[in-house]
Amino acid sequence: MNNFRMAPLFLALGFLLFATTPLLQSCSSSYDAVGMQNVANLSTKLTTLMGKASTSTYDPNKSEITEVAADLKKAEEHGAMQKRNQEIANSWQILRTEQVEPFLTRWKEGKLDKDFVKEATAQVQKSLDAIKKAEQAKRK
Amino acid sequence: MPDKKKDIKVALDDLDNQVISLVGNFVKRRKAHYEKAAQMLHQNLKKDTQRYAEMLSDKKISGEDFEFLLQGRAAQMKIELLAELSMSKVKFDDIAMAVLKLTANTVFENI
Repeated sequence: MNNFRMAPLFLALGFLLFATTPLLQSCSSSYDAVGMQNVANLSTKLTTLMGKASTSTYDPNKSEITEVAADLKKAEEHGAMQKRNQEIANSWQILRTEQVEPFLTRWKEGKLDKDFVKEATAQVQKSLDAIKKAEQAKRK
Repeated sequence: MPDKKKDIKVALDDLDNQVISLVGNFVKRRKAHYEKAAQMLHQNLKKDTQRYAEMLSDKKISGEDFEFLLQGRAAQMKIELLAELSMSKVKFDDIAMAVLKLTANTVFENI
């Protein structure tokens, strides 16, 4: 009789544990394949484009600049749409507004010095590496 | 069955210390991690700033370039710190899961 009376308690406990496990998992950051793809894509495109600033002027590269800038904006928007992803979304925004856009503005003024371009490109690459590390830390 | 109920209560009460030690170990470990990460970020920042200053004094870059690089380096540091923060949040999610698993396993072992 006692066994029979305890059964609903254990059943309820089982349901509670069953229900809270996926809930906790959904609260945590999960692996973002698109986010990873965005980092990989921009690591190549952005640094290659910036490297051209020491050998060529802005105008002949305009279409490539527009394309890469659009990709960067898309990566930022994608990051902002993900749950519990505030830090990565902010990182994309800082990369765009404080590193890439100021660089492109200077490039518009004319060809840039080789040593300067090398250092600015290295900064952008390291920022992208940091975003990649944060994406990789997410649970698969 | 009342014994079973008592066993479960005792087992769950015993978990208090285990949970505290689980979280305590994690925080200790992460504290060392944060200190190391902050030191590394600072060392890299110093190294880079020194290199920019040398490039400026060697006239390899202009004053404007130097200022631009310093601002870009500050942005890089912000992104690196945000990445650390993001990774630590994932670790805290891991703690929540570890506590839940520990509790669930203890209950199931005692049923």
